[in-house]
Amino acid sequence: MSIVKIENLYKTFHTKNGDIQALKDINLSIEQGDIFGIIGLSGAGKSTLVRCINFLEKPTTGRVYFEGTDMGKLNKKELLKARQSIGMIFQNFNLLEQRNALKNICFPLEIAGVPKAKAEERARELLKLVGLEDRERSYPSQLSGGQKQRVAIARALATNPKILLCDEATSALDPTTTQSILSLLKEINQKMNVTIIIITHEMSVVEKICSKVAVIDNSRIVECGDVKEVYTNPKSDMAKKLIIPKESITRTLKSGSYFRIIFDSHTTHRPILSELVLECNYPINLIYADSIEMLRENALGEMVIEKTGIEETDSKIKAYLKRNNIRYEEANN
Amino acid sequence: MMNMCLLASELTKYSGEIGVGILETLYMVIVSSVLSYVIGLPLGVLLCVTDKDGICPCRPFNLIAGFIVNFLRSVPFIILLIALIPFTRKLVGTSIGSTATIVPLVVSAFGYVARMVESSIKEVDAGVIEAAQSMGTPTFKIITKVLIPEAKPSLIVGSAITVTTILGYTAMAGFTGGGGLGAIAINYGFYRYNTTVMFVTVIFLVIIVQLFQEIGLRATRATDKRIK
Repeated sequence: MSIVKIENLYKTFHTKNGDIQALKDINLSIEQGDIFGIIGLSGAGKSTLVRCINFLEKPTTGRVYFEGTDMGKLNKKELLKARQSIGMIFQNFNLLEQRNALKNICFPLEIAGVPKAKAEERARELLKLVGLEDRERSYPSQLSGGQKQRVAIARALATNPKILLCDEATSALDPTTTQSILSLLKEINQKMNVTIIIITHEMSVVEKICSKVAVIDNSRIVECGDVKEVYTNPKSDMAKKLIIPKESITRTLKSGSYFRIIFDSHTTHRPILSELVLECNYPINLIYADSIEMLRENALGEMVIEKTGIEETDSKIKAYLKRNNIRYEEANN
Repeated sequence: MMNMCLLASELTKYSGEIGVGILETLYMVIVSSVLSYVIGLPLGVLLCVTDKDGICPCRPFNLIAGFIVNFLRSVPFIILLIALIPFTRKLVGTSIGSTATIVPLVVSAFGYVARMVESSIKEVDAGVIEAAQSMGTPTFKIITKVLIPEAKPSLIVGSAITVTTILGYTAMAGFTGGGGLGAIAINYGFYRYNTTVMFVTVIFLVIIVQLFQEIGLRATRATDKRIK
């Protein structure tokens, strides 16, 4: 059974300047233990979608099931109780400025009615988990962005939630800190078996830790599936745009036509470029190459090479790729 | 030299009266401030949370409470002082003296306090409130555990300003028979042209204002965890 299931969800905001459809016909199924990415550009509706899961935003129509329970059918008290099983972290951390790290983590436990001594004990455990055991007396203003997010993660985990919602949790952090926070999330997912839902606009975040991804564009989910599948074979325009953001690189090409070659576990160790050169007996222009770390998969990579412009050579390249079962995409201009 | 001698002799002559005046002023200011907060603090919080963007929107309540507060705040204090005389008499038995003055002071100040509190509470980051909601915090606990503690430094600054304002109002109460330093300043300076005594009372008023400001400032600094 899915831990979160969303059916035919629509969300409309009524504003002075007319209605705004933030979400249209959303259907999603998130399995227990997944790290599920929801990616899209800003304004696509992803933040609204994640808030519909814990009912901080009430869907206009449609259903949200959490562990099989229809969230829309809960009364106020039951909803508050359900939210204790759904942790959430934010782009701006949203820590209580007047409480130190320890007391911030105690907050959800106070709300859940856990006795003070027990709450503090649990908070210390969590501080240790996020690697901040020596900062329990520090106030948020004394912590760096990454440390604040660690405290926020510890706070979100205090009540042993089943899922953790991350709303652009790394968008305010520098690349190094982002990596360490993502590693922490991955660790939490594996150690505590917490399902994680990540909202982001950065493909690198999805590549790094997500197992499944939904691409959201213009209030709709345009593509959804395994990260590997979506990554190697993006179908929607938005997915292509997010995954192949090398537009700036390819735009500089004279011809504007290129092959995007995708490696997976059985091709990563082959000298494909050299083989291509030998095969075609023609100099090949490499535009871009990158490898991507995946959660449960082996290494994955991509390479963009310019088309030669000679039909015969280009068909030779295609033939070679097909023969060797290497996935590729063509872009012509 | 002459002036100094004069000042010294005036001071000894009126020192008893001024001493009583200081105590009366402090009594009026402190009691009215406390009572104003007893009414104004919850009212201010309610004004904030029942607002259309608040955590518990309630338009009818917000409109009515907002109107009452605005109405009381629009009436000049000197007018309110006179208009409330019958009410004060019923409540305290007299309309003269320090205790009687507390009634119009509170009526006038609680609306002011409510608006001060409201603006302090509104400063609390919406994201922090959302985080609390995401943890399943009931509305009342958001008020007591998030809004008020997070707004505390701002609330303390507000209270220092409120106390100073009330102190200014106590002086006006001197016209209708209220006590305190203000009454002494008016009686000697305005009715008897004794500028020396008026001058001295003004100095004491300034000292009291400074004192309250300093206490407020120090309290804010000591409680605010954002600056350190």
